[in-house]
Amino acid sequence: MNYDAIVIGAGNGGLVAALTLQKKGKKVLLLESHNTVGGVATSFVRGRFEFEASLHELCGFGNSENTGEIFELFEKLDILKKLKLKEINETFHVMTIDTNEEYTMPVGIENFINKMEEYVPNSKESMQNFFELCQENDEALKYLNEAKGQIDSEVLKSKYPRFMVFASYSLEEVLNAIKMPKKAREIISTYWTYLGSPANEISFVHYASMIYSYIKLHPVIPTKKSHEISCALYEEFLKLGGEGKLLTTVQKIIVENNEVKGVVTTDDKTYYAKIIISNASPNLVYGKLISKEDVPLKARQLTNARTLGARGICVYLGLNKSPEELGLKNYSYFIYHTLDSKKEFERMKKLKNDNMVGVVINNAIPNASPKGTTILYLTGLIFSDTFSNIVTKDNYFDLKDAIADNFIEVFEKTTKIKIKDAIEEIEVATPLTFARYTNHPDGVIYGYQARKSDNLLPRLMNQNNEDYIKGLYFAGGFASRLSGYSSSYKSGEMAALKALAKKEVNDEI
Amino acid sequence: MKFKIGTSEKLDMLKFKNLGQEREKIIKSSYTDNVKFDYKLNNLVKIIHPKEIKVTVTNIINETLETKTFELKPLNGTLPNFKAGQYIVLDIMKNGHIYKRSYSISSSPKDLSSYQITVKKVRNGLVSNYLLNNVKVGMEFTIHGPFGNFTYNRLRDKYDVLALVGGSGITPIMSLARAINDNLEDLNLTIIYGDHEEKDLIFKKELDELAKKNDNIKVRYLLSDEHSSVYDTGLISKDTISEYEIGKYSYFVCGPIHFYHHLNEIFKELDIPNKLIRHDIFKENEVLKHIKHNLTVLTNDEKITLSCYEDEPILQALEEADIDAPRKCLVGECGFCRSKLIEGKIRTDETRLREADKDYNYIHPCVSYPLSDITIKLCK
Ligand SMILES: Cc1cc2nc3c(=O)[nH]c(=O)nc-3n(C[C@H](O)[C@H](O)[C@H](O)COP(=O)(O)OP(=O)(O)OC[C@H]3O[C@@H](n4cnc5c(N)ncnc54)[C@H](O)[C@@H]3O)c2cc1C
Repeated sequence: MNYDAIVIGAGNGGLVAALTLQKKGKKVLLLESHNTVGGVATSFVRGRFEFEASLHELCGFGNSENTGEIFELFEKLDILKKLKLKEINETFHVMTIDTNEEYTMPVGIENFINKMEEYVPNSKESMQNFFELCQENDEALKYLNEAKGQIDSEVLKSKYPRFMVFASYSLEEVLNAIKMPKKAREIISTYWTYLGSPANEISFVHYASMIYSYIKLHPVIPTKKSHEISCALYEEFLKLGGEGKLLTTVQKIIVENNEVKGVVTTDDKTYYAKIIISNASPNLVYGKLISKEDVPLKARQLTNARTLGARGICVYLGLNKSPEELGLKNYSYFIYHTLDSKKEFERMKKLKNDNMVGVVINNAIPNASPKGTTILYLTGLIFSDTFSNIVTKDNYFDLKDAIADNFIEVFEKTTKIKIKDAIEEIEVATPLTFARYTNHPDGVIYGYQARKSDNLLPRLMNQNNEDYIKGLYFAGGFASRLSGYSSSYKSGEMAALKALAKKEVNDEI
Repeated sequence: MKFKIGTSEKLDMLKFKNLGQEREKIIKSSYTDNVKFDYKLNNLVKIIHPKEIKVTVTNIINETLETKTFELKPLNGTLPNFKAGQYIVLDIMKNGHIYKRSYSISSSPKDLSSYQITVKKVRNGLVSNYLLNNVKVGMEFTIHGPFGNFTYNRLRDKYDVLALVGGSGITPIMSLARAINDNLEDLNLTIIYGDHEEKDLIFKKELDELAKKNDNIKVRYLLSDEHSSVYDTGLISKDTISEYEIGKYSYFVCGPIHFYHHLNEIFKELDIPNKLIRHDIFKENEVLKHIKHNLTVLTNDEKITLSCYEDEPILQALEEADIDAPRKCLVGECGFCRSKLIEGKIRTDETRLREADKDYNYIHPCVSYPLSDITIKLCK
């Protein structure tokens, strides 16, 4: 069967890619291994509880007066009206195990600066400078996104001079340069785990764009879990005549003369198309789906040069008391030993590292679970393959229990809030679970680590040189916008538009 | 605002412009080996959660007049680990149709050289009776799993567990008792096992032995249709449950659906919180075949029309018509059969649908019944 385009995988990136192409009138086939769409943007039911599988907070959204790029994307894709998203009235709330610190940061730039001044006197000026840079960063990035890799440095130089100065530096370097007091630097870096690299490795550009969008636009969360967004994207795709096949895994991508021809699924069916967008990782695509001899040298080198990003562990708890009864006042509970991201990054190479983010979804969406109950999910990260080295088929269940034990104990000890006796449902997801549900290498949940030349800007700047096989593009957490909900949605759109643009150029020739 | 990072602004700008080339350089100098998708973890997924397992029947044990245990050994290697209380899905070829049915594993999780499932005759039971009458040692089957959440969790459940069992509901609890005996689970298990008559009790001898051997296994029988001096008579009642200190126990309920409803009423009267109740429902549908509706099934490539009785689960009608619809648990727990209702009205015993799925008319055909002519769309 012939299609204009085939999308492999219906995670955030794949869904948006498929819908974008379908909207442009293309004939699209979307293939997904699982029986639901969304990849990790999904939910699951245990007893009375529907658990969110991954999303803590969505950034880059905003509202009709103050629109972020995801608001605009969803509007373009005609799904905005179907969604009910709630604003979260807190940027983050962080506590430390070793030093007993606690900070709750509000949304809104003014509020954020003022609160920081309360916690760290004399931080105000540097904070104002920080947000000024954030704004310029935002505008420059918009320009870069629209330029689709064709960057005019004269434009950049005249319009965003400071951007060009800070763009090649890490978060740590820029915060030092603007003389932000140490404590403020530490507090503002709290989100470093969301990008999966410590302050000295993550680029300022990337971090600033994320935190700015959270603080300026409010983080949001869908009322019916991320599954609500995934469903809306898929339904719109189907409505426009898109063809979706769930429970269908791609086992081969056919390449001839360095050009994609189609795919073969595990039920031995072949589908043809000149555009293939993969939501599956480059590791899988170049390492398994495409025959060895058809993988270009550079594709191999690029893949070999990269470092796999964070592995995730998640303990999902359905509690039979309300957040008030339990004393869970905050939406998020970032728990670290210390606020030193370099030190914590090293610590988090170990499986048992105690650092985690707890989310009380009911504090944004009161009816996210039945009245008088609470959903609390605790997410931890590991920056190495240690889990894979420890786990065996025989210790897997015990390992899960031990992980849950530790998470709950640390959470209780740090917050002084008792949750154990209220556990009505419990589920634990490990890197193995994520490997099972995404097919990603070693079960990573953040694609490649954002380090050195694999940070946001280098990826964006080189995006056009790295399509090594004609007609093959990547979307999702491994692609040029890196991981995260907003980034993976956006990368889906970017991949689709790029594929169309290149196709047109090729067709003309 | 004035600020400075590097030695000069000019150099910083140059550095920025070079970001892309810097990346190129790193790629060019990286090693050239083939990319290998060979990760220990991804390989382990296939061992812990294989798509399917081919097994042979290596032994058949007559447990009671109406019950047999089938021992299933893998053709290759060992079986995936499981937790006591989980089930497998068995593909059964009968008259040219493939039926998929779920059965709890009754053997101990310790022995992974085989799984045992224990099957009881069901009145008008389509598949169970076929298994009991036709399966011989040496026959081969495909199984899927293990799946399921009817398992003990020390973080959630009380140390003391009262298992309330009706009939063949003993199978997962038997596995749990064996797991305790094998030191794989640590809990204090009291089983109240209800059936019609003594001759119906499955595993009685072994249960009694386990109870004798282990301080933390107790078993008590309750017969509804037989009066005897040895056993209690009647059904599990409010009084039976009240004999055990409320608040001290988690309740593991396992049996047919009416048994579960009956106990749920009691739990409500006794004000027992949800947290303390786990259940596993056994269901074999008896279709009376009165009212018939048209069932149109859409897949990406086909449109098939068949019929479905008003008291027949939609999934069962699909199965009879040889439509390979996804299915696992068959009791509305796992969500694997999730399909979209395009047209028509249904009745459902649904409790496990995601909120957003309701908005888009998704249903679980294993617990949904047509109330009119209906059209559904499968997921591929
Ligand atoms: C626990 C957790 C918490 C998170 N919290 C946040 C958060 O708060 N905010 C935020 O912004 N981000 C968060 N993230 C990150 C975010 O969820 C991901 O970056 C994003 O969802 C990745 O989307 P993706 O497009 O890469 O698709 P993925 O979700 O990775 O999905 C890939 C899809 O491709 C399919 N597939 C793979 N191979 C094949 C094949 N061969 N054939 C067919 N299908 C195939 C898979 O089945 C899967 O559905 C979190 C992630 C996790 C795991």
